[in-house]
Amino acid sequence: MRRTTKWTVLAIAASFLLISGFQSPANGQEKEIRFGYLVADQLHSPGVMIMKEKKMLEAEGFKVAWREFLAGSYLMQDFASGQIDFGSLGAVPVLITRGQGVDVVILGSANTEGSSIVVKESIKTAKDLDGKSLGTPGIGSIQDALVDMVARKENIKIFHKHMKVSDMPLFLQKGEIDGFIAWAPHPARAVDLGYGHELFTSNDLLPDHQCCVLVTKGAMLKNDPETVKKVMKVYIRACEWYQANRDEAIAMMVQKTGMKEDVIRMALKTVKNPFPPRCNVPSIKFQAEGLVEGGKIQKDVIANMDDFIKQVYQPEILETSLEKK
Amino acid sequence: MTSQLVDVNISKKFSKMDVLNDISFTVQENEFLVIVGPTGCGKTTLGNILAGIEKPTTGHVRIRGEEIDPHIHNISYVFQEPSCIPWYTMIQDVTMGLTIRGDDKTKSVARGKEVLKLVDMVGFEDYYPWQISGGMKQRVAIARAYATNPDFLIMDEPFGHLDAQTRYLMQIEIMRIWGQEKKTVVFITNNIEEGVYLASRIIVLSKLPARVKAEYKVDLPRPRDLTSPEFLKARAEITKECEVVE
Amino acid sequence: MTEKRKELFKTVGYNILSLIVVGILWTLFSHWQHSPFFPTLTTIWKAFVGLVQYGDVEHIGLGAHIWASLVRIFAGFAAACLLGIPLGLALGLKPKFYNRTRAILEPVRFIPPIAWIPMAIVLLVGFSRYVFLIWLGAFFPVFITTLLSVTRVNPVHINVAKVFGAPRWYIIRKIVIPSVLPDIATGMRVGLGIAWMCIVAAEMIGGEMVGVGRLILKYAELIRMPEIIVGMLVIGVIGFFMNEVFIVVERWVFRWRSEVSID
Repeated sequence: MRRTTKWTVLAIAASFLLISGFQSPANGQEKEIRFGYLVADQLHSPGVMIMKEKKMLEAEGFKVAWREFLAGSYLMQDFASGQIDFGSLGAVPVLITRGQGVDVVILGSANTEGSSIVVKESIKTAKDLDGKSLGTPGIGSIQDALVDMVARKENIKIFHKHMKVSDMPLFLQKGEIDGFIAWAPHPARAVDLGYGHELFTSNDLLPDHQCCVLVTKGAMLKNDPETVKKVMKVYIRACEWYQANRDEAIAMMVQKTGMKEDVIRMALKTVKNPFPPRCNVPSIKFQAEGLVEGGKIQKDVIANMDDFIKQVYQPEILETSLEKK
Repeated sequence: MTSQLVDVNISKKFSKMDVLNDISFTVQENEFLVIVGPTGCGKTTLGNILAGIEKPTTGHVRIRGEEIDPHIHNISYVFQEPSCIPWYTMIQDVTMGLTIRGDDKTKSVARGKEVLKLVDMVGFEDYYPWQISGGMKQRVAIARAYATNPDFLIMDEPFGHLDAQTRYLMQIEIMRIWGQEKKTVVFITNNIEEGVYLASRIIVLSKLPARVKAEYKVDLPRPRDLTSPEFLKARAEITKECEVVE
Repeated sequence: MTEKRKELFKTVGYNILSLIVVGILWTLFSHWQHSPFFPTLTTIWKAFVGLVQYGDVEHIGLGAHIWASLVRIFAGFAAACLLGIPLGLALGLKPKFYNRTRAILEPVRFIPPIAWIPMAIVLLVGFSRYVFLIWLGAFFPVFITTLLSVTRVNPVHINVAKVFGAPRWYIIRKIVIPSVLPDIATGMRVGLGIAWMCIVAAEMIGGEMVGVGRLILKYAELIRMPEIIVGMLVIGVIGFFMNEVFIVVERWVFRWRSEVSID
């Protein structure tokens, strides 16, 4: 019995050492950052797309690991476990995660609006949605919150069916859902395929609502502001480029999403990419309040809403990066 | 004058291997025929062929002139291994043959109790096999074989898996049972002493490929005395026969 | 007190004791960590009560989730048994058929249910999707154990019936089937366990609002550990009880089996 215990202890100690050995990062010349984004979010986050495609961060001396996620909440899961340094995703999952005590801060905006509700032909008005089912990207998404808004406003019951955005057109075509809400260009794709028609856009539901944002760890902001500043500068340059070279950017989107150009252009009509990329603070506050009301952020977590918003949105780096040209 | 009941004349081959070579003998009605042979000489195969559950390669086993067939003829078999059906109680087990035949239920149960009494297993009707010993299981197997009143009863080394003492007791038992209900029995064994104790007649088989080496009539009165000079003489003779090198 | 009673008390007692030890270790660890991702037992309990009383963020109660998952599992499991047992018996009785169709059957066995999900999404709709995926998980244990159990029927028992002149159907009904039932029961128990494990993967597809798998995923999206743990524990506890009930039923039906023990 004693001999087996000795070997067991040695084995555990050895594996411990092995694992911790692998953990220590190779401190090379290049700084490695891990950047997360969402599937087919090029229209919402063209700045990120341009940074990625033109290797602008790499030009600054960064080694970038790009990681794609199916929805904002999955990006936040990996963020919470320390596997992501920067991300581009909807404000809602960021707020929910912050409400859980995760150290995430918003640096700037990617876009406002940009989602649409697509429904089957027989649904013509909001009231027709009563008792119907809509696909949403997940319970922690702005799209899910928008559906809640519609239901509350019209005083009807809508069933949420959470699924992958890439599956939504298929489920709609098969009749398993009566419609869905997703970020552009997924709704446009469904319309183009003839599965349904657009019922509402973000603009109809909540004009100028904050959608995607750029985030990082609060700790990184505190301990390594130089890196954050560098990334922000690159991001601003990418956004500038987007404003000036629309057609080239659209060609990039066509190539990345695999969708036709006219579909992309149609989808872009619903998206607003403000420059300079400042966030719509009242919108963020409104969304946070809605989350608390809906129980997605637990009530006792936010003592003071304004303080909470100040903690989560820290635009100082953005402002300084905008000033110095 | 007892009549000839079973006529055996067979050979058996498994692929290229000869197992039974021209085995030929008869079985008289109500006699206790013992077949003695060394281990692995194909005795079990012979038993299976006699019972009709295996077919010989050439030749026939005939009972009263007809080709033997378990579906038609009333045959019983006591196997070497414990053969009690695990999910049957003792009473269900012994009445199995009667149930298969389609006999009336009450009559079957009555006959079942009768044979359990015959093998001295009264009181164990509702027991399961796992609750009784090896010797008791073989007694039940014998009871089951008797329950159908078979014309022809084959026993293939039924006491082979029992310990020596139980074996002695079972030899006495089987003589008592056979005395009470006389049946035509073919008893296969590799134990010469057992053979001499039980047999009316002994047939000796050779090693593989088996053939009939010799036949002996054992005329000693029953119950036999294992130590009597006549017994020992018969035993010595047969032992010598078996040990003759081929 | 009888020996059996004593042993039963000891078993239950030690089990409860080990649960308490785990509970104490968990509490110590969670208080030391002080992280939202390692909730204390009281937090977990409160989350459980909340789910039962008020339901989840979409106001769907815990009971509704459990019921939905159970219905799906039993449907898939029933389908697996209805197909697996007769097929296993048939192929077991005719080994030639099985040997000649192995190239089709065996590779399918190794494709995990998750790999079938893309196909299930495209080809099937709603409830049938769940039944299919769970059927995939439960079918093979049931089928294979049934098949193998036929080959393990004791030939002596068959010969006993043969000597009495029993027809083939009698041998199958009265000898083969009772022989294989204990093995089939074991295969079913394993299959049911696997079916229960498949439910989370199946509910990940989405398109449904209820189900314990869905419950866990909802709270994963909200990064709420207490509710996630409640979901996991619910799955574990229900699976455990299903297994225990199965064992009790097995023991009663097969009371003719002796319990083999090493001491």
